Order: sequence, then C-alpha cells, then structure tokens
Amino acid sequence: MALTLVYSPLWFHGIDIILEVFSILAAVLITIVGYKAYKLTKESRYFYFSLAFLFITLSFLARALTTGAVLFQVSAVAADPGMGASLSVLESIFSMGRFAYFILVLFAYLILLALSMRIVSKRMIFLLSIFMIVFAASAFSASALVFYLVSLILLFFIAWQYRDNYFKKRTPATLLTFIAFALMVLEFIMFIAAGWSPPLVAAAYFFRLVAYVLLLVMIVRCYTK
Amino acid sequence: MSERRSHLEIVFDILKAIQDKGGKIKPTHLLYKSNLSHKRMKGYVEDLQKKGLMFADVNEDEKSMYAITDQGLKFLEEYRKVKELTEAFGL
Repeated sequence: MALTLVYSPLWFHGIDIILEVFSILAAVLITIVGYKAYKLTKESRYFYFSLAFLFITLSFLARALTTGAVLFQVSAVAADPGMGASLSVLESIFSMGRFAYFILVLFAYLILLALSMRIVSKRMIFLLSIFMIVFAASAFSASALVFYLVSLILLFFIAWQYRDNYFKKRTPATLLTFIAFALMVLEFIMFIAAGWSPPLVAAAYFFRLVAYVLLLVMIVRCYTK
Repeated sequence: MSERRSHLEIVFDILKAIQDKGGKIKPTHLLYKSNLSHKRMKGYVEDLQKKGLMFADVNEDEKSMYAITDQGLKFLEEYRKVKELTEAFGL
C-alpha cells in the first residue's frame, strides 16, 4: 500500500505548518496556566489538565516537525534525483511522527474526557488507555481514518460536556470553551471528509486555528480581569 | 445541598472576607463571614499566619483585628484565576 507522506494537499504545504504554530502557542499557554494552577493548589485535576495540553502541544510539534522534515527531504530529492534512497528515510520519519501524533492526541483527549466527565475510577482509565493504544496502533498500520473517527467520538463527548457546563454556568468563558471544542469536532469531521475531497484539509486547519484562538482569548480574558 | 468547600476554598473565603473589609477585619466578623466553627477558624487563622498570608493586628481602639498581607493579596489574585480556569473547563 502506498503511503502518503504528508497530511495535506500540495498547495497547502507550508501554510499548514504556519497555522500549526498558532495552535502550538495557544496549547503551550494553556499548559503553563494549568501547571501554575497545579503548583498553587496541588490538586491532581490541574496536573492532568496541564498534561493533556502538553500532549496536544507535543502532538502538534511532532506533526509540524515531521511534515517540515518530509517537505525538506522532498525538495532535496527534487534538486538531486540521485538521492532516491532517501524515500525509505522519509517513510520512517513520517511513520514515527504520525504514530507520536496519534498516540499523544488520543491520550490528551482521553484525559480531557475523564476530567470533564469526572471519571475517577483508575480501572476505567486504565481500560480506556489500553483502547487508545490499540486504536493508535491500528491507525498506525492501517488507515488514519480509524484515528480520526476515534478522536471525533472523544471530542464529541468532550464538547458535549462543555456544552452542559455552559448551560449550567452561562458565562463568556464557558461559552468560548464550548465553541472551541465544537470547532474541534468540525475539524475532525473535515479531516475525515478530506479522504474524499482533499481541499477540506484546509477547512480542518482553519477550524482548529479558530478553536485555539478562542481558547487563547478565553485564557487571556480570565488572566487579565 | 451545596458541596463541601475544599481547604483552599476556605482559605480563599477567609482572605476574601478580610479584603472585602478593606484589609482588616474583627475576629467575630471573620467567624461569621468564613462560616466555620470557632475551633476550625482558629486553626485556619494560625495556619495562615504561619504562612504569612495574614497577621494579627489592633485598630485605633486597641481592639484585636486580623489583616491581610501582600502575599495574601497575591494568593487571592492567583486563586481567582484558577477559579476562572476551573469554571471555564468544568474541572
């Protein structure tokens, strides 16, 4: 089976990395804010919250770095066709980056789901973790569709929890969080739909960018009041 | 029925009660505002004094008061941010 070595269509290469940088900045900021909350309170929920966003940050980094490395190698091969042997190296770089991305995203969403649904049973979390590893491994060896579907389901439930949270509290911060995660659901729907219509990858990146900008706005609002 | 307050929430309520009264509060007012038994409030006050978040003082009438320190004010500010984060993500 031929392996596609990038996540987005040719015309979108480079733009995806730039958009990724904005999401990385927002995720880093939320990680820091979560960790500061943990340092102050010593409550594990803030530690896990911070860990979830650290995983998201690392997943974006893994994705941006592998895409960047692949694009760099491709342009090097184009400039010197004698470097054909590099293709296996490209495949290895991309496979490792993709697996890191899958596993980090799935664990991040699992943690956010457990926190938002207040799942405290360690056995339940262990069981879900096993499922995540199996899903990530199957998506690694087969199609990314499995990964996108599982991520979509997790995000849907997280967004639903944040929707309930908004209806309970009705504050601007809870609304922004709910909209941000609803946009992430749309992002994954776009990634799945991009299997049939590749230009939709751009829409997926756009939804993600807006989602993280909203989270950034929410954090800045909270911290500058 | 309302949820039990955590240790930090009680600390926040005590310090906020002092801040709301302009930085100084009478012990009887603090007892009322913190919604704690006398014994528990005494424990908290001793603990917060040791941590440098508040201190015992006297007013112009030589009556005993509790006052909040700069460190206490800083704690209030930081904890407010944590509360915002907690609310936003339903943590």
